Amino acid sequence: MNEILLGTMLATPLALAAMVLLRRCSAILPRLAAWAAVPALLLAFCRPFTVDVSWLLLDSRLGLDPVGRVFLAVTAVLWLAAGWYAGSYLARDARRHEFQFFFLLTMTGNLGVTVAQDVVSFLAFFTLMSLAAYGLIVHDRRPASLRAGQVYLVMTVAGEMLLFAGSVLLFHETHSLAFDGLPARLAASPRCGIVVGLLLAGFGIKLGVMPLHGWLPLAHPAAPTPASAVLSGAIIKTGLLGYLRMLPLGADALPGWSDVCVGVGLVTCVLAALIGMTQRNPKAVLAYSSVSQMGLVTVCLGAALAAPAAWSTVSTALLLWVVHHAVAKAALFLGVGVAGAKMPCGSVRGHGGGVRRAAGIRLGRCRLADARSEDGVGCDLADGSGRNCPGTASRLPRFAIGAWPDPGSGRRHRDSRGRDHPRRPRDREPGRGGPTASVVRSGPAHRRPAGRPRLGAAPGRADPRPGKRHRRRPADRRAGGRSVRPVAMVRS
Amino acid sequence: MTYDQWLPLLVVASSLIPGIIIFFLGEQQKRLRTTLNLAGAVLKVVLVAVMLWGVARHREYEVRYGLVEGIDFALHADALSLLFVTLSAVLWLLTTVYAIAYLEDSPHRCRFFGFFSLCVSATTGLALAGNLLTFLIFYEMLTLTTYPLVVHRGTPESLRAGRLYLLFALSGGAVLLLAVVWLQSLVGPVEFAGTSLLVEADPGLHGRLRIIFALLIAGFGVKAALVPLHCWLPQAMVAPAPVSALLHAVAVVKAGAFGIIRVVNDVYGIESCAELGVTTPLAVAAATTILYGSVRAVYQDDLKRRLAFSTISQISYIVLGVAIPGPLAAIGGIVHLVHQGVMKITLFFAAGNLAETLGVKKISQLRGTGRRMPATMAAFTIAALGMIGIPPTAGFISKWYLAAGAAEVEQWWVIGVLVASSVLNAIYFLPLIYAAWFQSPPDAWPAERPRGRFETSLGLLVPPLITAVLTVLLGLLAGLPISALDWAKLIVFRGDRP
Repeated sequence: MNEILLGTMLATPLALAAMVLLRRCSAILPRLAAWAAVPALLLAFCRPFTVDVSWLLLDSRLGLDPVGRVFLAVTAVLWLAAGWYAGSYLARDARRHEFQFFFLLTMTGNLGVTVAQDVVSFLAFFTLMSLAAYGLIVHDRRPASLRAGQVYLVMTVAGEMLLFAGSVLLFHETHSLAFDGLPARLAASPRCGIVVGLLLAGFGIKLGVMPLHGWLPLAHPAAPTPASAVLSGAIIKTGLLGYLRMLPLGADALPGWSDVCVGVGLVTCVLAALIGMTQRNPKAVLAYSSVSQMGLVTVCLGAALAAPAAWSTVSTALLLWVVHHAVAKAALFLGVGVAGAKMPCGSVRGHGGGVRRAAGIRLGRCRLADARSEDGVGCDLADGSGRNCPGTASRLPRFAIGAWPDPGSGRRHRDSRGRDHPRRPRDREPGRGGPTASVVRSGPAHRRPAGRPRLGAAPGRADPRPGKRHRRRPADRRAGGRSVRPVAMVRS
Repeated sequence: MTYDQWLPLLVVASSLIPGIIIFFLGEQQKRLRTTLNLAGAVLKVVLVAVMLWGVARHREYEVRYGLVEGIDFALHADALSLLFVTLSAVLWLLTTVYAIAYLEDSPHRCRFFGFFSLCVSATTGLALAGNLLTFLIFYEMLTLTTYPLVVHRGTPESLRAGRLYLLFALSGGAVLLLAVVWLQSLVGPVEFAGTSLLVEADPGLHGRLRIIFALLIAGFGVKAALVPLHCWLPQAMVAPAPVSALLHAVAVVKAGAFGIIRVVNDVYGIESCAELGVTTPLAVAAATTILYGSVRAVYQDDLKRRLAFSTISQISYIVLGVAIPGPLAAIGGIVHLVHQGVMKITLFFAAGNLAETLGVKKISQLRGTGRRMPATMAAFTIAALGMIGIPPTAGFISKWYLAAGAAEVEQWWVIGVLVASSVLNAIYFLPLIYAAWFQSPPDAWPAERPRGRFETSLGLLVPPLITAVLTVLLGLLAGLPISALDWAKLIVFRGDRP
């Protein structure tokens, strides 16, 4: 029974991807695709089991274990949410079929990784996920996205190679491909250090630990919002899953690598947060926030590598963190998409109703960047009626972004706190952007004649896809600091 | 003669006889020629399947004639020869289908298909050869029957390429003949019996045996395109696409690699090779070729030339596999014989489709080809990912076993070479995939010739799709008892698997 569900879980997105490819049932496909992760969610409620699939690859073993279950559940929820969201977000996108294809393939890989119980099948799913995600990142074909895709691909290939070398050595040292009991066997081998080094670097690229994070702040803003959500919420977590599966955590103390992990982790944690503060694009802010959070994870890993006895505590913390970060970061990304007025208000209320529920938060207008520059604290989340939304999720952006030392915060603080502020006519100076209510009411973004500036936006910024327009290369972003125009990122 | 003796002969004859008949047909007797061709190809696949079934049940298939005193003509079916025969039979069938569609309305088709069949007969013959001398006979026959295919178009360029090919191949053949005669005079007739004759050879002979080994490798290395004997291969790209496909995947290049496997595994035996100290130089030569071919491939703009340099690199995976002592690497090398064939033939089929249908021959013209020819480019993409060694394709399985085998004998540098080669493969294949799928097509293709109601004619479309599916299945289902990997294990462990 479990085996059948597992097979269904992997076959569903693959079959849907094939249908997209062959252009079959195009009418209902988007709706079907949104539900592709349902079998995965069901599987997450099953009892742990393993099944040997000897004909697949090199004696594969698939199954569910307590660690995999947490990852599977979170991953499935995120893909479901992103799938629903994408249905509305890309409803009028000319290339939505292509997006669906890569989306479903990436989903297959991501779900497969969580149930893979041996090295080779893990690598296979991991690779499928990594390569298919390229299609998501370059979806809009803008120069910046293509550039992000290029960086992503180069780093992915590098990561694949490190992992290939690492897994071959792992196999040589442990004489086994199954994850079961792998840490103990690896800990007993003489070349444990080299294997750990290769795996740390290989999965570190996926995890986005500095200095291997280069692809992350480029790719997250480049991808369409639902893809960014899963990229940040689920996909980069597979790097952590790789660590949990293959490193000798809790079995052996590796002081050298522990020091490296703690050092790199701390630097990442702080530096990424600092760089994130200079970003203008909210998705880039979130990306750096992810990098920063991954630094925290690396510190935890370092601690576990130093003190194997503490592993049970650390692993619990890490799993909790996985759930927290996945859900929170996905919610933030999806919120940015809503705030980006890609979907006009009517749309949010209409088709997007599902989106809001899917995200698990009541997000109407996430005035993330706006508020960030205005009240100096974080983000003002209000729903469609302008009512404040004091749910847990509304605190998360503050958590993620942290205190925002904006020089003008005092001046505009009251503005941003005004309940009905978002509904005021747009009388602020151009370039400041502002609340999205008027934008939202001004009709569907994509129907606005080209060249006509969006209300509240600077001339020339009337882009149907805000959030893409102001994307700059990181160097620019860092150089063009907020000290120059602290509020200019507002409508991005 | 019993049925078991007839079978190896029949396998060779199933392409030889149609080939000879085709020479006597008129250019216009298209239907008869096609029927003969396809019948021969299908018959060969069936016969090989029968033989596979028998050998898996430990039946002996052997036929032997005394040519002169002490020299036998022997055909013998063992596990290794069957692996190669199966590969060539299946891919020949697909290539025949492809070639029939490809050469529609072009001149000299009788000559082409005649030599095409002879070429495959030679390949089958050398795969089934039971001793070194029989191998040599078919090896020379292969050289002579492929020359007319290389120069088929008759342009000055192809004639030049043909001359270069003959120069290299015949010199290689001469060196080989010298080595074989010398070896026979030292140790007597060399049979591929699965046991090394040289294990208990007189230590005084070791010096001479080393020289003979070098000569044998040089002779086979010409066809296997080991650096610096590779120069003819990129030139030979002027041949029509089905010829290139067959040349690179099955016939010529593979014959060289297969010869090297025979020399290391069956003539000398891997233990004796290690004892003589010849494996490390061979491994270094293979590694050099792998890196050289990959680096050169990066700089080619002609699609088929890039694929040719890629072949130079990939064939040496096979040589590297047999040059590293230890079963895992040998499995990797031998299974790559099949995997490389399937992947490379897909790439050449796709390149041929692009050239025939759109006139796209250069990498700089590949933009947007994925939109115009999605099925062809999908096959190309899968095969290219396989070449890089992306799991779960066939290429990954080969690479995994090669690397694990290198780790087994603690030759860490080999892993470095494999990783470097994969990176280079990614560098010269990923931009192609990117251009094909993620860039917009140009306003007009260089020379578009629409064929049929699909993106191109079915005969051109189906073979690459089948081989692309095989590329994935060979990797994904590597654990199945009928996979190439399982057969390679059977060869290496000689039936008694752990």
